[in-house]
Amino acid sequence: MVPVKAAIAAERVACPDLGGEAADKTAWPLLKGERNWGSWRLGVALATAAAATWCYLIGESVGYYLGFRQGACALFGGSMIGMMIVTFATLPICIRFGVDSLASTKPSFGSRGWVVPAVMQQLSVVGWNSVLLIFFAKSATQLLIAMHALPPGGSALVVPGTVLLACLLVFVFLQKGAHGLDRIARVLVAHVLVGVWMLYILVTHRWAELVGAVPVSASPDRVWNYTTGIEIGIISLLSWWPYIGAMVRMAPDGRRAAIPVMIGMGMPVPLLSLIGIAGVLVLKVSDPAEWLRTVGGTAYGIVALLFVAAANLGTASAGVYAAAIGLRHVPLLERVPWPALLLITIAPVAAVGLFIPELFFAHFSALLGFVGMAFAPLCGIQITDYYLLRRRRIDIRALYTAGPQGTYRFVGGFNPASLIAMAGGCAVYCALLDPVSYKSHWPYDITTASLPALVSAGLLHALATCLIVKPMGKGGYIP
Amino acid sequence: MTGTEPKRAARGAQAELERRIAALESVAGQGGDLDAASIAWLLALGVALPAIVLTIGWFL
Repeated sequence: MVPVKAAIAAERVACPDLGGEAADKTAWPLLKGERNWGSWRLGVALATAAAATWCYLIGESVGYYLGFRQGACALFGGSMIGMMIVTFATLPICIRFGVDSLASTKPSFGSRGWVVPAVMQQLSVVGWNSVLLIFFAKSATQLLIAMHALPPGGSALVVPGTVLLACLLVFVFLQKGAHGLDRIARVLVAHVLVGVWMLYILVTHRWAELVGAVPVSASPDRVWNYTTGIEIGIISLLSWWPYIGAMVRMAPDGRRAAIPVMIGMGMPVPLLSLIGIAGVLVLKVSDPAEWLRTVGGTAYGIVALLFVAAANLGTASAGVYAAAIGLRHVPLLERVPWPALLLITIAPVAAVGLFIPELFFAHFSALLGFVGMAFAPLCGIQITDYYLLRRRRIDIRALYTAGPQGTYRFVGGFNPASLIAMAGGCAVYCALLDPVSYKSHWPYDITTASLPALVSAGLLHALATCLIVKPMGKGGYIP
Repeated sequence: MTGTEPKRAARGAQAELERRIAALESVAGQGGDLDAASIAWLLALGVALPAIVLTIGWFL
């Protein structure tokens, strides 16, 4: 393994014109010599990013409809399907050219059309990071109240203060770019084991209650409950779309990335979500800082809080890093110093934590629904475009050419086919499942909403490309 | 900072981007795409394993 300091020094030597910035702080393609994360290192970074307290909220969402064992199976199956979809959509372009998720959309959306996935990425990352940091702040508040260090109802300043502290820590961690992420991942990955221990505590102490618990919002339709568990698994892992490219581009090839992605990023979510399912079924609360205190006293509560802090800081750092790299594609921000770019990326999360901390937290299921509605069609379009329409041929120069001479210029920089497909995929999703109320329509019970949205967007993209884009001679498609 | 420095920096950045693109235009400079073994693993972990787990879960 290349020592971190040596790797950074090597990059600075390799990139003398970056004005002191290492290549991993830009959206430029990384060269082979700079992509030195092996399978293990990538897997650790991905696992640290994946394992966060959203797992409890995801588990809680499933625990409303399914019992422990069935919920675990539905969530695991759905999560692995979702992870595979994201991997097929983003990994090939990211890994071949060392680019992030956003750059991988330029062949399908156009040299300006990438702003559509860019907006989705920023909204998703801000939403998820707000959930994570506010979860951490709430857990800290509850623990302080339980330890009588804070009077009941005295959280008015603690929640925004803790969110700001967490934002500051993320800012400090990411000063070293991807290497800062790698460093904290090596330390914070231990929290995954703490999470397994927490699950063991709950299962061994309350097994009888756990298997006998009845989910509070279960529908009389058993198929609907099971499908909803699978759907929550799929859309939870589609949330990795904004994150995955910025990290897998540090690996040299697909062979070394495929298994770490599926195991390191795909499996921790359903595994740690079991804590949320178990918590909500037995104790009617998914926050482990609260239920571990109930089961094992204040000492267990402190361990849980440390876990929440470690888990969320790692994931928030990964999210902010991915979002910052995404912002580098905006011409105005291309040459902004890295610390300033980090501040721009973190500012919306801090603002949410300061001014509207309850909003994202109270609408978690709607956030999940938004992710499914937005990223399922996006993945369908990318998979169809790369494998079917382009037969894996990508023009790397065109990814960085915004002018009229670029291959991915399409019409004014936008690909009409992908915009039609995106709109169609979103419409199919909403027709099958309302992302806010979760009211569903046939055939959601047997198909889920995200899979038909993905397939229909892919089909629409292929159809519109063949009927509209190819005859115009746009996009560099094979005739 | 003089007015020429930002221009010089911009030219330098453009040259560096060009160097990277030129290196990646050759197949030898690119990272390896998903090969048959990787795709097989993805399908095993993303289709076959979920199918087995979901079937077991349904009968629990």
